[in-house]
Amino acid sequence: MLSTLHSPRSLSRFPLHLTSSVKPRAASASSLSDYPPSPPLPVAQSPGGAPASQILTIRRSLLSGSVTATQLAESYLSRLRLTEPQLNSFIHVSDSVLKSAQEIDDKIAKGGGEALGPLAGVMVGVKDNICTVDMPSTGGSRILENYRPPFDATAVKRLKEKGGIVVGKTNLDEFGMGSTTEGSGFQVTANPWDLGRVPGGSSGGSASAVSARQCVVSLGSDTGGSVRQPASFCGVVGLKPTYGRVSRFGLMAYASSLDVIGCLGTSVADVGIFLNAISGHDKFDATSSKQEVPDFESLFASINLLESKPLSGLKVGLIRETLDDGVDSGVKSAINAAVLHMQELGCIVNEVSLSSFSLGLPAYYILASSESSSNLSRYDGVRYGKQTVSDELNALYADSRASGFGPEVKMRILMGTYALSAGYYDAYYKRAQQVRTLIRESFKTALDSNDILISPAAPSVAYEMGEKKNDPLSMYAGDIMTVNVNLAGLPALVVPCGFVEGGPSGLPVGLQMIGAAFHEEKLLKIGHLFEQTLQGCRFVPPLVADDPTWE
Amino acid sequence: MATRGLLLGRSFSLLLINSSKMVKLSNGYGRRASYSFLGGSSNPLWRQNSAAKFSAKALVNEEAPDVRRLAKTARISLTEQEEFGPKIQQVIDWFGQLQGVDLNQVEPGMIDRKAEEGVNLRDDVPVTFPKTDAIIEGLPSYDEPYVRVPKVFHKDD
Repeated sequence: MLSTLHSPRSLSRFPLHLTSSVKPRAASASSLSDYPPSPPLPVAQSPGGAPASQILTIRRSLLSGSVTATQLAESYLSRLRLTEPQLNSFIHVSDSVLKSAQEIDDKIAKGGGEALGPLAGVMVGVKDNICTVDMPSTGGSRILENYRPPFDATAVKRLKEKGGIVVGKTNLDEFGMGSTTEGSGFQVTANPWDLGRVPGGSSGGSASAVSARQCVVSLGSDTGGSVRQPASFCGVVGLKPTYGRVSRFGLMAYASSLDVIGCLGTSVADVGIFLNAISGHDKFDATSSKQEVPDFESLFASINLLESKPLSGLKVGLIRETLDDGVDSGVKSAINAAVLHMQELGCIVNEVSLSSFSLGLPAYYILASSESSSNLSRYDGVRYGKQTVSDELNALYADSRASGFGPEVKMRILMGTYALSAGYYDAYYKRAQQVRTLIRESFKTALDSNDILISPAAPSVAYEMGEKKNDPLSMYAGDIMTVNVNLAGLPALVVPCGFVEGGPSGLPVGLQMIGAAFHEEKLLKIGHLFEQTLQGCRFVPPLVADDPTWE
Repeated sequence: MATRGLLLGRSFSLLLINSSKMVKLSNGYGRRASYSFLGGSSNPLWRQNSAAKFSAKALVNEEAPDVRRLAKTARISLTEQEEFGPKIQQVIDWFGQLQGVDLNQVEPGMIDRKAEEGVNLRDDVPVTFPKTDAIIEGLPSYDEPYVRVPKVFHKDD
């Protein structure tokens, strides 16, 4: 089943890692004895672990001259073209990728290393609800078909300034509303691990593009788990920063008090370096924080993988409510195995209970629907986007919006309108905000006595396509693990931790780690150590691993 | 039992009355499990549920949301109102579980960093946006120098 273990030839691309002396996971003797024991896993004999950082590898190769940015861009573009017909991760692919790569090569030829930014030559996918000036930005919706923003989002501007190359705009559920990416107005994206399954949502295109190695890292947005759940479904690393860490300027607003821009990548180090590039205060976003951005890149350099118990003394709280009935047994086993792995690294794992945990889901949907009904009122067919022919103004609004919006968006706008209407505001919106306070306080209490909290990223692995289409509540239920983190505004990292049977070579499961506000560096450090010492798992989907050109 | 069912939303009270199995209703997570236990909306129990008339009053309102009025407020013309109605009803019923929670003394929470970071506003100085031509290109109906819209005033609302 775990056929993603690479043949030795394919490991030559990645730097050899000295893994710490971690024993292979035991199949029994769990200190949390009320969970099912993890199934016995084959012990990996291969010396190489997951690559530490593709971004740093690219940088080194460019500076040493062993590869040019143009060659790199061509290799990614050819893999993109090869896999796109099956995946459909991109709504739009840029036609100026090679031009940007050439500019980097010219810079290297002229001035050498000092001129190169930290993301030099790195191919980046950008979720289509983030504005890019030279490419259409549709938000996944027909109402903005062919819309070209007159500006770049701040996150895009910053990644370009640091040498990143935007390879294209990735597919998403319309305006971020959905958990499967089937809600896109344009196309359905497939999961690289099983083409009959969804990649998750709403940043499904961003996750599948990174998983299929069509790009190195990608930008997504996370309002209720939209970066973390697809990261789990596609076996990649996903980070949701603290609310206010990354500027929202240029992100098409869904729920303004919950939205953040997040990063996806194939390793924790890449995600950390990428986060560093886009974070920081922005005068165009009044909710962006003035908190200093730590240097996440140097964090990885200082970590010593040879230490036998590098996380000794770290207190980890496993959220009890996330392992109840309703979570797949395969997911529970994978999380249990991850707990054992963390204990081997020296962590002290105990259970924590978060009161009001289950109230987060209805509170989230009330708040998100309400805020979205307000935010989406700007799509009126007058200043941009699709306009229908009407002889009267209200009909123009109503018909343009009706023909441009998909059914899920319409439903959420209507629910939000209801929750905010006179007479119901106190019953729904205000109560949801009060529940939000309870949730925030319960997280704060738990994080006062634990360094991080952990849980599965989703109650199951990737669904089959069409499974959740007609059942909104069942689809919403899948967000139970992630929404509370958005309500509290905290950072969270999802790291692939294991597999479940299904698809051609198993389906990945992600472990979610939640940290205190603005303490992404703790999450990244723990995630990096977890990932680098994880044996027996190689998170490369068969679509990529079976490709003879993949080295 | 009926009161308990009432507090947690109309949709689930039938489950409580009819099932002998003790379902964890105070825990919304158990609710989700019970939902999947019922097999979703195709299950006959669910169909019966949405059509049932309850004698007990819900805490918030008894009437189904007026989808036509909501659509008018939201400026979305709806031809398939019948399709949206039951789905919206189902979700709003599910929202109802917040009614049973004791929220006295709890402040509605927004993330507020004014204390630590001070006021986070730009200087009140006008700045010219350099790409007005790109904005104009995006306008669906441009009749230089006007943005054209159909007539605003009309007799019937």
